[in-house]
Formats: sequence, C-alpha cells, structure tokens
Amino acid sequence: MSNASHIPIIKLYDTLIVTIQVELSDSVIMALKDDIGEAIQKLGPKALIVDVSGVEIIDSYISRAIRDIGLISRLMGVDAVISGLDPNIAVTLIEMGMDLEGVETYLHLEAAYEAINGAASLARIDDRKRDESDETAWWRR
Amino acid sequence: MTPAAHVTEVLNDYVGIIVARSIVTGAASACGLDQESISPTQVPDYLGALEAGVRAFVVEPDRQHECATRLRLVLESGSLQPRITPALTMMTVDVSCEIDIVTARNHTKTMCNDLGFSASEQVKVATIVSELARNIVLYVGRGRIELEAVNAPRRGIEIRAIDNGRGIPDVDNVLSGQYRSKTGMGVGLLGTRRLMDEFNVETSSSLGTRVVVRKYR
Repeated sequence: MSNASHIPIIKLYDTLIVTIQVELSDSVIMALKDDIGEAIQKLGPKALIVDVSGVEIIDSYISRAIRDIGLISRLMGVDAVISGLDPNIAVTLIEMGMDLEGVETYLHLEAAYEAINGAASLARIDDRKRDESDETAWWRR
Repeated sequence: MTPAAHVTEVLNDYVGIIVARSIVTGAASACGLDQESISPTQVPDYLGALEAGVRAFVVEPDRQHECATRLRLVLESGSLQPRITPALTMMTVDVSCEIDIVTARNHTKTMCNDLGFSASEQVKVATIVSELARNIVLYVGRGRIELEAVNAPRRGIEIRAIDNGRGIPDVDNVLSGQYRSKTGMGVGLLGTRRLMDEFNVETSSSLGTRVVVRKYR
C-alpha cells in the first residue's frame, strides 16, 4: 500500500507545485526526485515549490533528499524553493546540526508562490527591456 | 444524561453512532424495559442484551471485553467512565526494510504522546528513532528498535537500537564530527547525541552495535 504512494506534481502556469501530504518513506522520496526531474524536462517550468507542510518527521536522510531536489532543480535552471516547514521540525533539524543549506525556504505555499512570481515577473520585464534595446541596436546598425 | 445516552456514547466508540443507537433500542425492547428509567434489578439483563449486540459487531475479544467493562461501569455507577487504554511501556520493532523505519517512528510518536512529551519533543524523539532505524537498514540490513518508558531519575523514554552487524568503524571519529558519510550517517549519529539527554554507543566488529539513548520529559 505505502509502496504505491506517489506524490503528484501539479503545474500552475509556470510553476510546478509539489505538496507532500503523505508519510515519507525512502522510496517515495526517491521516486519523487526522479519524477521532478522528468517533469521539469517535459514541462519546462520557471520555478518549483516543494511544500512540506504535511510532513511530520524529517530526519537527516529526508532533509538531504529534499535539499537534493532543490539543488537538482536549480542545476536544471529552475528556481526551487521549499515551503511549510513545521516549527518542531525546524527546531529538530537545527539542533541536530542540519539545515536545508542552499535552498530557499518560505513560511507557507502562498509566500513561496508570491516570492517566485514576483521574481519571475520582474525577470520578464527585464527580458522585454533587453529585447527592446536589442531592437534599437539593430535599427542603429 | 439518561442511562441510554451514556450507553450510546460508550458504544459509539466501538461500533459508530448508528449501530450504537440500534443496539441500545434493540436491547431495551428485548428485555421489555423502558430505556429512560432502568432500575438496578434490570441492569444485568439489559447488560447481557447489550453485550450480545456488541458481539455481533465487534470481532476482537479484547475490545468486546473492554466495551462490556465500560458498559457495566456506566450502568452501575450511572456516570460515563473514561476509556480504559493502558499505556504501553515497552515495545520492540523489528527493522529490516525502509517501511519498518516509518513504523518505528510512528510507534515512537504514539508512545511519547502517551508519556506526555510535548509536540516538539515527540518530533525530536521520533526523528532520532528514524535515524537509528535507518542506520540499521542501510548499514546492517536487520536489527531491532526497543522503546521503553522509564521512571527514574525522571519520566522519559529509552530507545535501544540493536544489531548484529560488523560494528561502526572508527566510531570516535564519527562522533567527533570529523567524518561525514555520503548518506549522512555522521550527521545522524552526532545529531542523535545532540538531541538526547543520554547517549551511549557500544560497537564491535564481532558483536554488532548497540546504541542506547534516553530523553526525559
């Protein structure tokens, strides 16, 4: 039963959203790692949010796997952030001497989505400016 | 509250409210009594009829017995008794695959909750059990996690992670923080020591490893 549990990846415009609401076993999170890589390649999103608000326990292995997902996504050119870390888990991770180093975290999914889309829309404006200046340059030539 | 309402509430814990109501009504009519006013002499008959109804819906003998005990208490004292669930004080989880890691940490959370640990402490202890169980699965293949409630010097929980593997090579190095494995075990064992109140590890290449930790409330 738990072997079959599979975490869905939802596409919302340019953002992939993964919300983990199941008991995390090693195989579930390993499968998720592969699925996310595949989804990024297939759908070409700008950003990825992994929401862990449904996760009750994060030990060193799981925290590493979550961090890996963030770093892999970033390596593929996608902004990856984590949201919804339970305060008790945060305390435990810090006291154990672990953190999600290298991956941005947000209080909840909404904050993560806003932060990402703020950044993405700014990026789009930048792109447009660059296009315009390119055009001008072409005219001048 | 009427006796019938008390009885229905107890039955609700075992069979759900709809079945509970029908058992209550059925038992009253089988004994030919008015369920709103039951005299002490009618209690044994009524109880017998209720128990028969419970047996039709509850399969496990333990729960049948628990339910019957509560019903008797309710009818004899006229007040609703809290559910009788003796808290577990000792438990062993055999660990040989990754699903067992999940099982071990879930049992730990439940036990810590029963022992009155705060939510944040429950998470800490369950995380530690997850670490210890994972070390067994990853590095040895099989072993066991023992959980035990302790009362001295303070109330708390003792966790023993035991395996018959080839031991942890250079355990001192691991605990000094110098060593970091690819899978994060260095962090795991070191973190375990940081989070727990007592930490002891005995490891040898012939006898395996025994990690004993304690967390007090």
